[in-house]
Amino acid sequence: MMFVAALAAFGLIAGACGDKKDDAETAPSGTEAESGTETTVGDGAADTTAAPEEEATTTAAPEAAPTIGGKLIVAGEAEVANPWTPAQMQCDSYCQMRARTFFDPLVVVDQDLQPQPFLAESVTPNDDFTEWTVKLREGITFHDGLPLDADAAIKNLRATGGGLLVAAAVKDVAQVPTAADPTKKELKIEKVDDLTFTIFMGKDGNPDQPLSWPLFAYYLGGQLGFMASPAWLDAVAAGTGKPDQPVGTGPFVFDSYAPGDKLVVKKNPSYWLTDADGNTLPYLDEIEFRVIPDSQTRGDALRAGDVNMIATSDASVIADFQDAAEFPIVEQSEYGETSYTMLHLSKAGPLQDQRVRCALDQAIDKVDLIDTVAGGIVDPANGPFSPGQEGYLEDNGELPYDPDAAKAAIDEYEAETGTQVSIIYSTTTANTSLLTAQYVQDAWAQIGVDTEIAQIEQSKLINNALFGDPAFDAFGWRNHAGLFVDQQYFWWHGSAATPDGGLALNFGRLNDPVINDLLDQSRVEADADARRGIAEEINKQFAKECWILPAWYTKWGVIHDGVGGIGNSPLPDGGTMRDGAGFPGQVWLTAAFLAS
Amino acid sequence: MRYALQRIAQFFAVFVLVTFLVFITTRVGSKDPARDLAGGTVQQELVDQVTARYHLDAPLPIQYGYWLKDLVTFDFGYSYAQSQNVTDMFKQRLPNTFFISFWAILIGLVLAVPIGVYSAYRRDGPFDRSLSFASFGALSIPALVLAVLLRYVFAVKLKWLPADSDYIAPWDNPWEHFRNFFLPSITLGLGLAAVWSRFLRADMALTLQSDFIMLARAKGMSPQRVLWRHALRSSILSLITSVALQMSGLIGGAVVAEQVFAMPGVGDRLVFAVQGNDLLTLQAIAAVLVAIVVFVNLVVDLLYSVVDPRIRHVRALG
Repeated sequence: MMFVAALAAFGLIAGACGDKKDDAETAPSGTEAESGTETTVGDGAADTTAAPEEEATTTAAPEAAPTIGGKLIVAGEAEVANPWTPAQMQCDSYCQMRARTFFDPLVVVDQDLQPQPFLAESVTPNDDFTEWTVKLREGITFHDGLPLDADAAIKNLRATGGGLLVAAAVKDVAQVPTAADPTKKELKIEKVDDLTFTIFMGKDGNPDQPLSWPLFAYYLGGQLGFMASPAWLDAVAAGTGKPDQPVGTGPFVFDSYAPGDKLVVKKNPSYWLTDADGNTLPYLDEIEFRVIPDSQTRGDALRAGDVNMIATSDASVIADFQDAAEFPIVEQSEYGETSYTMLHLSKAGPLQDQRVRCALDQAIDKVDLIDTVAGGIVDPANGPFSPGQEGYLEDNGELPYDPDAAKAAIDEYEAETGTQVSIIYSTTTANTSLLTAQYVQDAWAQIGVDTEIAQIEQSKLINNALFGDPAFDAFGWRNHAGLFVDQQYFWWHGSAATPDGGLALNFGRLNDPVINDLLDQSRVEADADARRGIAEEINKQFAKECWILPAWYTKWGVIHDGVGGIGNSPLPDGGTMRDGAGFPGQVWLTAAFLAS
Repeated sequence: MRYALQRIAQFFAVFVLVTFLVFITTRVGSKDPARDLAGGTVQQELVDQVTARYHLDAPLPIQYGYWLKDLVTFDFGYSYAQSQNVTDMFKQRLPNTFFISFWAILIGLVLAVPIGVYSAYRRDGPFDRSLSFASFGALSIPALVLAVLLRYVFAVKLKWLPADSDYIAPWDNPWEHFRNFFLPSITLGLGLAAVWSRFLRADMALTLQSDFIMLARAKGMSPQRVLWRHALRSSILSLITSVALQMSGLIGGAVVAEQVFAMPGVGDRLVFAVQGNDLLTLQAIAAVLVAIVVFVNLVVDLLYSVVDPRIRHVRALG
């Protein structure tokens, strides 16, 4: 069961999320993140993405002796994976967590929030970040025995980069006509040798306008960087392969999949990564991922011993487990999502008026809302950037809760235009979503705004927003985890605001020239301080124009019965990767093991 | 025989009529059936493929004809929304719904028949009054509340039974099958028992005042024999009718059990299909449900003449 509503978090990029139990030791502050960025883009990727030492796959051992073998059962909230081909996945948090068991990405994010090569041996930009050269590790094979080489990686990147969703996110990667059909385009990637290739950046895909993109490496840590077997991709494209039976290089091999029920993966006996003691990873023999949409049922299943681990963003469930010592919680509240009301900004009507938008925002008492529907354990949000994220501000100038001022603004608008303000508010079928919608409906009624609530199944609701269904004015929404404002580019830039009827990753179809310009500046900015300043200006512009109606910063909890190795998935060159690189609510299970 | 053939003809007529209505409703209710069938967020090429595959350019009756033709060969189509062949979905989920329903009916009957019979036999006595009270209680508790309560007590607190039920075939592991299906089934079965016991009690009470029962008693027949052999047989028609009528309702009720106990069934998928405009799944489930309900009612109708010689006699006269 989710909070505000729709999970619209597609796994396009790598971000990161906090981990309560590790906060004191590892959670990076904004400064650390920034300094890390400086290292990556300033001192040159050579330092951070340099070729690893010879014993590349030996890494730190987990904090306790791992239990080898066994079956882990995990339960998550929804099934929106659909086809498992990286080009077509519509990946939410739980989808990403599952996909990372059978797919490895080219890059992962380490504990210092730096992109680190994973399937890649190195990822190196040129001096002005207009070209990124990727060298793959040698000897890695897909589950079907085919080698991971430059040809396979290029095929994957082109396929995924041309996918309906991901294409919009990587629009500034240069494109060239395909060899087979000059009328079609594909990402401009040149093979250097059997294991090396170069990806070229280009403004809006134009190869003649090289674009500096200092943070592009993070994109290789998300859906774009997932590597699937080229033979499987070909078979799926030809209709002879099954898109729901993925073949990757990951620590687990696909076994069975029943959509909406369970996905079973089994240990990849020839996985390429080992721990510090030389044990072949993964430790587990099998993982069964179940889908239990109701968060209370998920919690009860954990208590009853039916499952070993659950992921939830239902604050009331997290609160219930906070006093249960036998169930440790990995709480993730940094670099996370914002729960908010997304407005359909391309739709003609009252929402075009800044006074109306701000009145709707000022009508909501967020603290009371959080106490009412979120157990009081999350923090009110003032904008799209959550704590830790580039651009976050404690005070961004958002107008305070003031129902009288809100009512006056609505009255003024209605007197001026003769138009009654009414809103059709769409949200998911989860109980907490309904509670939130009803609270909002009541608050808006107090200022004279009629609200109709439409509860819609989650994946359908996402589609309605993607295609700009004109039937709706507002959507209960939850999105925008990540580290840098560049990772938000496609969510907010006007170039991603396709007119209604077309697919837009900029779901609300925001097209603010000020924000567009700032986002463009941010994309090419290598200096962390300058970029943070830009991001803060974006945040202030959001508050000034009330482009979204923020509610709270989502808190995720991964609750388990003593599963070991969480937050300890090793990097091939030493150290560990940061769980949730892409989305909160996820932990990587490469090094997970059952409680002894 | 003639009667049976008539009923079978009716069966097909109702099936075609209802499935056609469902087909038309789903297609008319969708703004873009081709995109819905293709799963929504997809390239135009796939939308075009789906349009060709399901003849979406043709008039609706023609489309229905193609759908019916596929149905005859158990080709329900491919749900892009779920990345799953709809036939596979049935294979995966129908056993769950079947066993929940089957055990719920069995629990309902096992409880309802003795309760109904003895309540009628001891009408207005303490036994009858207490069971009337209990029956109304069971009827008053929504299945959702009962399910959550049972889950909390037996799964979370006592840890006797799973909160997250899983499909285990009875022939694979009878004990685990029982553990996984007991809570979802009893959730539905208690409500059924309450309804059916009230039906049976009312019918039995009337039957026990009949002349032939008086005669049987006067002839010295034991009360048990009178109750179970004569009175019950004469009173069971309305119970059989109610069981048949509950079949469609049971699928609806199964949604609650399936969702609360996280047991993926057809009811659960039906809800998803409605909410997600998964048209092929919706049509297929509707077709299967119509077939089951109509078939069960056909069987029950034929069963009447087996149970009650008077009906057999009337039908024989034409």
